[in-house]
Amino acid sequence: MKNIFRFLAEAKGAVAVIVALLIIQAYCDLALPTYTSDLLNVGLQQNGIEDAVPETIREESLDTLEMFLADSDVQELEDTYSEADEDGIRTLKEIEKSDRQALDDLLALPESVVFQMQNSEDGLAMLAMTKAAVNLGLMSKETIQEQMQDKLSQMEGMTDSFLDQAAIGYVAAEYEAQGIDLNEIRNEYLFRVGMKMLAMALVMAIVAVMTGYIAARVSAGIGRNLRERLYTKVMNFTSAEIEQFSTASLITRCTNDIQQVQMLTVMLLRMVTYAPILAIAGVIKVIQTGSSMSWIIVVAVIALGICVAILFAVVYPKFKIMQQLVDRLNLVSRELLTGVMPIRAFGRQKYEEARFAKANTDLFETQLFTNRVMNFMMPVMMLIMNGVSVLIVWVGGHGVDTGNVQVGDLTAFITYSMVIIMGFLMLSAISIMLPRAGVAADRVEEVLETEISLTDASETRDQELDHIKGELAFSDVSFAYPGAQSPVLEHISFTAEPGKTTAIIGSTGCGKSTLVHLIPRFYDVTEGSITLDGIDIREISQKKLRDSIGYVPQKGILFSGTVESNLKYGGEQITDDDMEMAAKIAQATEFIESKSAGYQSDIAQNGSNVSGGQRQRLSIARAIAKHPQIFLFDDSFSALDYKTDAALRGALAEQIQNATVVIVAQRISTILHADQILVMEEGRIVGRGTHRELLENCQTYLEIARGQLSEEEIQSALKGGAVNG
Amino acid sequence: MAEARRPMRRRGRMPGEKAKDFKGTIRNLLRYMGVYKIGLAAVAVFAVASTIFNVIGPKILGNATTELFGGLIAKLSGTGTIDFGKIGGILLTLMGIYVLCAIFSFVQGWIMTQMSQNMSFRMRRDISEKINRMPLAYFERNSVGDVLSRITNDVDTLGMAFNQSITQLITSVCTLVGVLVMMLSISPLMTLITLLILPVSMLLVMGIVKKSQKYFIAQQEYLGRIDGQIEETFSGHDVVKAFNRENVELEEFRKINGVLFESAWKSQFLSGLMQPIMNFVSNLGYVAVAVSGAMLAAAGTIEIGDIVAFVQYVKRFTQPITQMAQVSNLLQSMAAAAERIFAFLNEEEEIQATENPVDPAVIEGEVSFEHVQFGYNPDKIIIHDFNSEIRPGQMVAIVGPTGAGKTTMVKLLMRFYDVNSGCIRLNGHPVADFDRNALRNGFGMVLQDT
Repeated sequence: MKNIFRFLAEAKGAVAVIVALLIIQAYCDLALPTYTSDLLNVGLQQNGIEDAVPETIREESLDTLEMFLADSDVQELEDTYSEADEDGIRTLKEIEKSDRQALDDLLALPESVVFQMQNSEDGLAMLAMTKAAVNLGLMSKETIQEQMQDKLSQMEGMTDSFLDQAAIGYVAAEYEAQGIDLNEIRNEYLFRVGMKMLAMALVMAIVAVMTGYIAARVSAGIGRNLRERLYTKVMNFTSAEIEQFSTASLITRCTNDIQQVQMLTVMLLRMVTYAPILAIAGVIKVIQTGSSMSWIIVVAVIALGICVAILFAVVYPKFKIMQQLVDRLNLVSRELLTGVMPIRAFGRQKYEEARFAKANTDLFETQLFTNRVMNFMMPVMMLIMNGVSVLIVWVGGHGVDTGNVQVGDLTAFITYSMVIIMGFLMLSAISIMLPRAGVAADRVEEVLETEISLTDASETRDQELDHIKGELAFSDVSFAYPGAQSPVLEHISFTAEPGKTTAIIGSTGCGKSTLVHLIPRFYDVTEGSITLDGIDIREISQKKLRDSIGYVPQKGILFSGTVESNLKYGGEQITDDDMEMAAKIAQATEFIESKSAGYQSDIAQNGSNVSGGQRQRLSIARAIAKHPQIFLFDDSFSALDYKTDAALRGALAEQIQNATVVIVAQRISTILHADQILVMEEGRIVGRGTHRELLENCQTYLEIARGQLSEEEIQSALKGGAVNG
Repeated sequence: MAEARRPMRRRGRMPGEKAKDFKGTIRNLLRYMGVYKIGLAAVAVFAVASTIFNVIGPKILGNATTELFGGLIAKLSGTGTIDFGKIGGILLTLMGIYVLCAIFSFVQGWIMTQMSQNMSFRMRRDISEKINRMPLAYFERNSVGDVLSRITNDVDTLGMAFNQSITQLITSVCTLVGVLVMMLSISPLMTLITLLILPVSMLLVMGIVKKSQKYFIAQQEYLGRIDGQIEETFSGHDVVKAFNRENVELEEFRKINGVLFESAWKSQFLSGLMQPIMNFVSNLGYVAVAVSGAMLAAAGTIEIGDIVAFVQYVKRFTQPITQMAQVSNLLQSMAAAAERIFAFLNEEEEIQATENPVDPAVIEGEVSFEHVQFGYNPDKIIIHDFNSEIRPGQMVAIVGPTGAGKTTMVKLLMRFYDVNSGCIRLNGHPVADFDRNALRNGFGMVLQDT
């Protein structure tokens, strides 16, 4: 998992922008329920009247209110309203928000007192009396304010909320008295809030689109970079590292695994990051409201957090095990498939089926477990969500009763909890994917971290090799594959000279291919040294060394493209003449020209549209076309029939006279004419000489020859007569 | 082996892969799942029940709110108080319903998981057993990677899609219907407003799908090309190195990778548009409902609790629609995976046992080939009229150039293949009369490659 974050760290800037955008989105997401609660509280309960400050007020009403205020406050009040117009109505001037807040605090008390008095006949009479008394100077302001406090203390259980409601009732009554249609005020308010909500929704959509854009680019970019880094790395791998991972596994890592990481990155950036942001923003928001219900949301978020944490703690290790079980099942299936013949020949079906059943059952049990745990989450989270809404109504209901909470807040809180919990549900749904992608990322990183075992020397001796003659000498070379105990090659010494053919023969597994692989430095020797024109090949750059070598692998490996692109694979310096000449030597001209497009004919991936023999001839021509000083034929003639084999070698000998040729072969007929034949057995050279010499003095060679040649052929070779081939 | 090097088909198939015969495959699948009839029925019942409970919840909660609001008004006007006894009763009922809903949903998921995992298990087992009954010829025609990908990827995809799609299909349909009914029961007018957003969202979704399709196809193509190059150069790593082509290949790789990046982010971005747009449309509906609800409540047409409930329903309304779009994708990939699996399971088998198998004890080692004719493909006969008689204790060698049919003779003898015409006899009994396994036990065989 940590590797995914490491990959993400490469795009720090973009991730920071996304987080910022998501915070905006969370803000908008949570603002919507607040507006809904405004719709219900202010719009519905208060007829769209937001506070105790009337926009317009009759002169006489203002006077009445002023009776209850201190002189300094009266002055302030007078200043905020315009002069009375012809109808005796004064209008509120444009004021700052903070001033309005102060005014709201100032007016709420007198307004609610007046509102109470206006509602009863006694009250009205008392109001009129007080007014008269003040006008006549019979009563001082102090006395009135004392009376007001008395009145307040009479109204038991009167809280701020009720005070506000009463003040708003006063404003509504005042508007009605002025002949203003309250419905209009309300509808205008509803419309205004609605527009604000739409704006929020729009901002949210825009922000989400922007997030999506950045997330898409970042994740595709991470995929691209990883792919390139991995590919570059593998291109620089030596055979040792390739063997370590296996080709198939490297391919999967470079394709599927990176694709998985890419998909997950999008999810991480867009959804997984959003859930905690939303949760935190939600908690902050509800705490800000200062409502007595805030703790419910906090508890819900903690409960959900614990749920998700438990989920991860329980399931994540199981997911890792599951990956191993999947690999195990793959392995068993693969063996089942590749071993169809031996399994049947030895009647092992039952045994193999039992082995498969074991792997299958293990996987089944683990998957069942993880799926069940995941399945447990959904109802639990839903229950938390529903439980929270029930709790909100219950606790909130009591808050409403005491005047601490307004009904609209209930809706807002229920929606908050829904929004937050939905975020968590999303998180847990995606978390199913996390472990898999985490494993994929680990597999990618594993390749990237692998050290390449073979590099160029810091100071090469390339400049001493202006004209490579091609003299190749092994001196006391031993080699063991990395990690292997016993050496594959032991104490090999020989010299392959320019213009001469050195052949290596021996039974399967004797190490002859390995020997050839050491020359282009697919591996480095474990002991001893290999020199080219007297210089240790480890002191030559890989490029220089390989440029001088024409390597023909055991299997004819071609690349998709055309015949031409394959034959000119050795470099851009290869001309059409070179190419055609090479094809001629490799006995490939005939079949190439029989194709309608000739050299432009398509070659499918892996060369699957040409036969094995044709593939082999093309791969030989490919090596010839680059005019190397050294030819390495790694058992390259095996797919050819005897006739083509002979014709090819004949043409080769004619055309390339100064090159060093090393041939690995299983067929004696291929190497009859070699200047030097090395006979190998179990990693050692057990005989060297010409065909005839070896027949005379090498028992191993004679055995191989007896298996492949007729007695007459052997006898005539021993006599020194003409050899066929 | 060459096949082993081929990578498995891409995991996590892109949406859009379709089965050739959707209906037939689904029918096959249903037949295969016949054993789970009771389980499926139980899943359906529990899913429906839990959804219904889930849907009526907000309505009941709305009732509690209305009760609360009524009590508050009464209290303010001094004519009564909030009846917490009644509200508590409603809320307790509601909590009971929610708990039941959670239990049902849990039981449903439990059964479903059991069923889908069990199905995956059975399928893998059936495939593995099938492998042992198939004629060898099949494995010479098809790559190991291909069969392997059926055992792992296809079964996996099927299991997962099956698990999710059935549950989601039932719950989303129920939710949609349920929510619609509840909304109608609260306010037909507000329901109408909510429904108006449907065609808008449909149009938007279709537009995006159409536009992103182009980039998805491009992405698939370049993924294929880059996979091809990776596979080729990794498999031919030695050759690439020996010819100093690392940089050329890398350059080529960079080019394709660059194009892939472009199409990848574009298709990702476009398909990612769906969610914010649907969200916006859903919010449009939400705002419309909230505003119109407040107006209706002011006019006294609906209760305040109804708005509380309705707002919740609107939030839940678009969810099943997007879910159903997902389900149709799931069904497609499920059918595609199932089709490949069934194609394999329905392949022709070796005829297993003969009616009255000859006791293999009779094998003494006498083998005779009589006018044997055989070709892997009936059009290409490679063994014409082969006759031979081999006695016990004789050592017989078969020589010939590659492709002459040497190994084929051995395969015929051990009944990996059956002759097209003619007969092979062991001690006078045609090989076809033996039980294959018993027959093979009578041979010792050293294979070409092990």
